[in-house]
Amino acid sequence: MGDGNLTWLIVEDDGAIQAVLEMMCDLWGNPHITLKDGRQAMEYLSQPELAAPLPDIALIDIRIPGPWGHLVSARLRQHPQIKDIGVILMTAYELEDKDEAQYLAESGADALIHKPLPSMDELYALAHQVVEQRRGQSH
Amino acid sequence: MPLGSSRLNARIFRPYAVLWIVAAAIIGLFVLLRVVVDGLENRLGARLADASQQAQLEIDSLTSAHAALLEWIVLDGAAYVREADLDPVLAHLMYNPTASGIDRVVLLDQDRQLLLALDAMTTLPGGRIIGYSQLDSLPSADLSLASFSRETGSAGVLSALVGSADTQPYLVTARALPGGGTALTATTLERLSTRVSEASGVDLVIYNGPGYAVASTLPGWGVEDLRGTFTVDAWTYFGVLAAPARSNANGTLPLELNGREYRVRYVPLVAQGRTVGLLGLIVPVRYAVALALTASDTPLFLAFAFAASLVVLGGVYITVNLLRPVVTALSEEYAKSSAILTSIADGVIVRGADGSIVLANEAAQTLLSVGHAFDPSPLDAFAALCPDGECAEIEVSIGSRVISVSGAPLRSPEGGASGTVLILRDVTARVLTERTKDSFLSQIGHELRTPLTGILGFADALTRGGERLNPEMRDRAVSAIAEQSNLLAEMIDRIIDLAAVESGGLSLRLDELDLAELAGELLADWRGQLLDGGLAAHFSAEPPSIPLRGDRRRLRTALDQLLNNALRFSPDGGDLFVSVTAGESFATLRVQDSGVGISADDLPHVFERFFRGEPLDRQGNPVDVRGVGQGLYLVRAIVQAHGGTVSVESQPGVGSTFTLRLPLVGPSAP
Repeated sequence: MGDGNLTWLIVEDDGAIQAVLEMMCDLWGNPHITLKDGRQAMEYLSQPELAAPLPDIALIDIRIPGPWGHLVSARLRQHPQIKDIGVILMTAYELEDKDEAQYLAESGADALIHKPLPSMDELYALAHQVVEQRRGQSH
Repeated sequence: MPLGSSRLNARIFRPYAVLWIVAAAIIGLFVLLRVVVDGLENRLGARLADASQQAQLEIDSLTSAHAALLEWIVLDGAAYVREADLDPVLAHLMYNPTASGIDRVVLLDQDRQLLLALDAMTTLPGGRIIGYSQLDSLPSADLSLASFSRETGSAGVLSALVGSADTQPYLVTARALPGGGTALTATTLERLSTRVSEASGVDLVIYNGPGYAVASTLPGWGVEDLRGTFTVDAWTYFGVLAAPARSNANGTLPLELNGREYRVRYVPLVAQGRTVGLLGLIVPVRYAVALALTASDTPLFLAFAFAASLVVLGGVYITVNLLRPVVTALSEEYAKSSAILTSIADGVIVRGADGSIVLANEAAQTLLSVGHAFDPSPLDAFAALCPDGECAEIEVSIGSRVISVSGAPLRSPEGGASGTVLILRDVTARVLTERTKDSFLSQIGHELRTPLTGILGFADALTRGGERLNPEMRDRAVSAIAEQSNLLAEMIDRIIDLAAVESGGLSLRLDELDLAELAGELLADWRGQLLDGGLAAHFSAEPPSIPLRGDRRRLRTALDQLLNNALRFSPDGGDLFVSVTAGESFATLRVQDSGVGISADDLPHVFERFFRGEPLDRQGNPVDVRGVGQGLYLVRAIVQAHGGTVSVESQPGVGSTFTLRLPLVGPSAP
């Protein structure tokens, strides 16, 4: 994994948003894994040995069918292989500050962003920032 | 319950009640007066009966004095009288103590020539004579005394009333003297009547025969008056003498003198065992008693009782009429204020300074009732938040309801705080609506942001894609932008439709369309999504073409909503049947899923705005219900705007069937 190369784990139920995130990854030349709801995400995380490539950054929508995104994130933080990767939660809802803080605390995520999503460049920059912060903490 | 003025009227002012009162008053007065009158008559009669006994005793005492003096004259003084030596006789009379009440002593010889005449004798109370005048001859008027002496037997003692009102009348007792001659003792009737009156306690009148009275003690009645007024007819005179018990039941007779009412009892006047005249014992009757006694003779009495009743009733009537406006005004005021308190939709409660409930109208009792029990304890929460009682719209939760409480301190007339007036309002619906609207807006925001996120993201990708953006990706981005823009437009249409429904109704854009075709196309559009959700869609149309007049876009929206629901509430997939049939005037579109179904509690409410059920999947887990509860609300509005109906049947765990009936000719003209 080079400076610009991150592997993305995308958990999003809306087909169009899924598609746009996938296209962005393609444009950046980054690999991506896409899961469409909480149930699929939990199934993925329940594998003890994840198939390569392992994700470096997870982008998880909170309001998804099945277990919600913040629960998926919390589960992710328990997975031995990827527990230290960067996690960004997404939501289209207006949240109060205390709810936002609670989601972050419960999920162990690094950031929470609101839809509509930031621009491609901003998202890219945020992802790298989060990943580097994580790496700084774990080393 | 408030006491209405009409009820007061019914109670107090009923005309027949007045009649009853009149009748009862007359009868009551009649009985009362009868009793009073009888009692009075009895008392008067008893008093006169007692007086007559006293009178006779006094007369007896007087005539005894006569007899005793005559006895002395005959036994001790006879010799002196015969010898006409009268000094010893005079001396004896002066010192004899038995002459009480005797005014005159006359001694006549056997030729009835006057021997001695003593007049105006003055005696001490014990009977001793302390003064007299000696007459040389008897006044002519007293000659009757002389003639009376002839009647006296040789040994007997005889009494009589002699004289008349014109002359000096006397009670005379005579006794023959041994050897001829007569001794006479006399008491003036004036003295007699005074003594008897004093002894008996009543006034009296004395007759010596039918006709005029000869004496009376009634004040102001002189000799002249006696003649004109006090007469007794022979019938009464001899009747009483023959049978003293006669007269009325009480032994009394009415007597009217100079406009005043009296009762009189006639008794024989007996002296020396001989009836010498008639004694009338008289008592006056007081004015009111006299009136009653007079009136006790019906029909006079009835007139009196009626008059008395009128006076009493007049008083009652005047009092009632004076009070009636006051009572009516008060009761109307009370009825008005209680009607206001009762009909007011807000709860009104008055709490005392100690927190006790002084007053609570019906609305307040309903608001504060849990089940059927009135429980004012939630008000303590208000009191805790608002110690001085003056607060506006504090929301207090009571079970699932929210009550807004406003308060103001209640001042006593002296200005001190004497409690609190609380106004209670059920704001549950408002609070729920506010919450739902908040949630609705937040949900709308979320729904709009979702396609917007895609549009902005793809646009960003197209702008900044750089050299990696190949034509295939470019096409994908452009078509995704178009698709998401359409989605956004549909959402906006739906929001506008909802607003239109809220503000009075949808205005349809009517077209000739084929319902079977429309449903088939739409289902084809959904097939991919349905398959993703594990739903196997089955479509049938019978007949294959069903033309009707309708709003294409709105009907698509309605069917979209039903398919969306079928997908959302079939988390485990299953079969989805969409069928379109046509009858004579109606087309029927049916969407049947095999999802989680709708509970019986929720079923009646699914078409209500903002209603969201709480369905469970087959494992008993809650199904994620997105949306804000307006999809089916809009479906119903669209179908109704077409003049159709929508219905639902469902069984939890088995599935739901929604049925739309649409008129083939379109909605009837408004």
